[in-house]
Amino acid sequence: MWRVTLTGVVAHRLRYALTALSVLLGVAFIAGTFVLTDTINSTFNGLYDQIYQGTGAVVRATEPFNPGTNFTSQRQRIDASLASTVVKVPGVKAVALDIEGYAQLVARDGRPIGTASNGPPTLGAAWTDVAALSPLRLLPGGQPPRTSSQVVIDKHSADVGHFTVGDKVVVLTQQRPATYTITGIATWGSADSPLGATITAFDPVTAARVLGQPGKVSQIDVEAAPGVSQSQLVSRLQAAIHNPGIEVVSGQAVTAEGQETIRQALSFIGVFLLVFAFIALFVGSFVIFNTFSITVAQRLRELALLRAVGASRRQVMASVLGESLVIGVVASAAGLVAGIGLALALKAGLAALGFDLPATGLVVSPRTVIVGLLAGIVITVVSAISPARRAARIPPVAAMQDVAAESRRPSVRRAARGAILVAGGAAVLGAGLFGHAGNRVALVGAGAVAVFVGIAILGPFVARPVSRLLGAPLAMRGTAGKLGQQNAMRNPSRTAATAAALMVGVALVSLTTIVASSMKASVTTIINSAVRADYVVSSGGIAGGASGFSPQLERSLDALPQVSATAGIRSAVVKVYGKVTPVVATDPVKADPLFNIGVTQGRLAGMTSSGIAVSTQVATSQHLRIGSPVAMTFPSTGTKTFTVQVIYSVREVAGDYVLPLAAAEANFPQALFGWAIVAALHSQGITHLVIPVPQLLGVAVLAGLAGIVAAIAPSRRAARLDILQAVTTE
Amino acid sequence: MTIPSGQATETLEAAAAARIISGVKIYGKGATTVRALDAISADFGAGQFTAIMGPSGSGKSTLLHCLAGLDRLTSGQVLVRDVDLGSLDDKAMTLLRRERIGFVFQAFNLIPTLTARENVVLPITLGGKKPDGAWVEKLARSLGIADRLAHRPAELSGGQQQRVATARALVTRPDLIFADEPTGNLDSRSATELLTQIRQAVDEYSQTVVMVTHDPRAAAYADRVLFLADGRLVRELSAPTADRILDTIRELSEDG
Repeated sequence: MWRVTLTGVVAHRLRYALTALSVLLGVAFIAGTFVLTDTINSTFNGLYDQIYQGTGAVVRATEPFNPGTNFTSQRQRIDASLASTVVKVPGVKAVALDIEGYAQLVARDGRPIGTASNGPPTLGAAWTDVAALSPLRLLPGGQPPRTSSQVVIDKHSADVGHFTVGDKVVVLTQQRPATYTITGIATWGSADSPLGATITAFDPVTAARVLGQPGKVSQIDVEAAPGVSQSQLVSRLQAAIHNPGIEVVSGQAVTAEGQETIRQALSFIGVFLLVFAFIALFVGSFVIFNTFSITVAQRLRELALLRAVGASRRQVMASVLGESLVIGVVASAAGLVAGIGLALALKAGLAALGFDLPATGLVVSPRTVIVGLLAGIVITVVSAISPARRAARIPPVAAMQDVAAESRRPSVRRAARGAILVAGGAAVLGAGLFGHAGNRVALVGAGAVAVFVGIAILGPFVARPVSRLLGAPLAMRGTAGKLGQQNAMRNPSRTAATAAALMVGVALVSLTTIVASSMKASVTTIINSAVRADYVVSSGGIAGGASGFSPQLERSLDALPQVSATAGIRSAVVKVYGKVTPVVATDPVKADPLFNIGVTQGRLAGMTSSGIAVSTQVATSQHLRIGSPVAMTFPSTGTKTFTVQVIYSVREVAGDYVLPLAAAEANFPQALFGWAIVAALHSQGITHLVIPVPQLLGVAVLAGLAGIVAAIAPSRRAARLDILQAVTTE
Repeated sequence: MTIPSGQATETLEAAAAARIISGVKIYGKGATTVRALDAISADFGAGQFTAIMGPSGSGKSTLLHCLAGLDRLTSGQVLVRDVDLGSLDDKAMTLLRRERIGFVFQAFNLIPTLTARENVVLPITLGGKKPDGAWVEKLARSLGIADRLAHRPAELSGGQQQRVATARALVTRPDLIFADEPTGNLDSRSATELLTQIRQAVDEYSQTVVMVTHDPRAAAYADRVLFLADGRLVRELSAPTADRILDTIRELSEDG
């Protein structure tokens, strides 16, 4: 029997090859995703191990709360003078003052190097001469920065910007932009740069001034003396410092933190690609189902003959499932290989976006192989179950009769099942789209799948009337048209199954189109309604990220004779009512005329330094009125209490909380001005649903054309059919 | 209708390889009802070659399908040896077909993707058993397909395909072989060869054969001929010749 299966697959290899393609694509996306993320992770695990090899311990400020993966850590800086205490602790061989902050390199054409909005971070750092504690390795011919006008930059930026030692470069920091001389070019460990981030290293004094605050450092890195373990070092340092605001962590812990950060930062790539894999396999399951249904119908007599000469139902079913298993295995294996190729292509694609990855061998873990194979095989076999069951039900007497391929009328039970799935799926989808509870993405996904499957089940009911309607103009034009119309109506299940694969495709394209249009409309509406200003200057930085521009800029803009009013907006991540939330701060008096945030109570211009403005939504959910206290925890300065002085209704621009500038100056870790509208979109997303009818109609027409094009080859084969053969066989 | 067990069954076993008792088969429902078999009873003796003839729609194919366990009677009984087919579930029926019944059809007899040899031994391999190589060789030689066993059906002539199908029907040494118009698609030389070989199988291995045919010359190879009309047995002819068969057909059509 197994032999019947195998020879059957070989005999129908062309048809199955096309079926296998969809499985192959799905598996390739899964495997490619895993290979890529595993490779990147393993690369960075190696790099971090390398970089922190000489780091025994790190002394830094404690973090009041973990800002989460969407926001960079906003630890408070510590006093540089603490280093003198640290260096006296027994077992400490050397210390380095570690200062990190925002520094944007500017290329010769005046454009920033690296895409600040969505690309890798643009980092500034302090140069340290303790080689064991420095991730930067100077390339031959370079010198460390020694004066306030010298910098060392990473090799990736040097390559991208065509800089060599001795060149001048403009660097943007929170201070005024300044021109520096490049004294050296360095690698980050053995990599050109971490993930394509740009690094500018200043001498420690300059670094403190342009990146942070004079006399303050981000952290103190400590090298252990020989024979002193990391845990010994950590406990000695803790004893010596003895300050609840300062923590000491081992080099190993910092290594693990860095590796985890990279892993989480890259997880978005994984999610994005796995969604593609899921869609490919979902469409694939329709194609497989269809192919097997057709094969079973065509091999009716062969299968009946098997039954007649003594094959059991179970054997016939196993034979069909066996074919699907063979196809699943072959397609999944090919998919794994294709996935490795895809990983290479994606790596190149990421490099093109600025995420440069060091060249290393690809990591193909057992998990990649197991998950990839399993997903491909299970999908293929499961999709073939229903056709296989139909094959098993073929009566043996069909081998002797000219039984037409069954075209049973779809049953009432089928209709009920389809209707329940569509209704249930729509409910879940609705809950996911408009509800607030649970994992909304999972709800939307599950709901969409249920609706698809439900519509596919209902397809046969629709196929007959739709075929009649759409075929009517053809049928009026002659016999050939009428035959086509009748043929589509004859077996509505087959017609519906064929259409299903196309349906999924059209649905996905439509969804993307609607989301894109809605997003665009939402942005436009927000800006039109809420921003009275004529211009918005934005660095396009990530929420709470180390980007933005100097407060100087606001003063410079104010000074321009053409400008009548400006309002700088600052941002930070805080914890309020138990949630990590981005907040903005601005000068209420200056912002009042520029923004229309729908103030319902209080006056923006009347806000004091201890006041806060909250959205009506927060006011309602937390029962806040004018005068109510709001406790807000800042990463740097801990918990502060503000008094509600304004309640406003338009959350799209301002988010849920607006602080006065004075509060930001006291509590925000970075003295940068930055995003306003970008932040609003992060928290708000789509507010306006737009259905672009012409585009959607275009998609439908294209899909119809695709269907016709796909039918050309089979039609030609049908037209070339030898007449005598057609009469004699069957 | 019930058959007394015990003695009756024993005599039946000795006399008949298969038996149909008051077999009724009705197709369709309501106005389109067709009574394909109308209370038909017949015995098929062991080691006997029986031909079934009758005009189109007389129920001869339906009779064959019901005897062979491919289809079920609406009422009445089919006994193969001592087994009442009506009492068997699908699984037992499958086993019965595999082990005790052989088939030769008019067309589409072979699995196109398997070689002739694989087709011949299919009923054995389906049961998960090893075929008896010497027996397969002997069958192939006597049917004249020994040098064709490695070929696929598409590479064989119609006559050769039918002989491969015959070898498959014989390979399990079944109690019964059913043939449905086995010569229907063959030229007269191939038809003569095939019928000679079936006759040989009956004579040499005491094989029981039931064959449906339109062709009086083919029916003349049988030990007896059953004539059907409108689902009923209308005439039986022993030791037939082609001429006597033709005469009978003429008589019957004049009666009708």
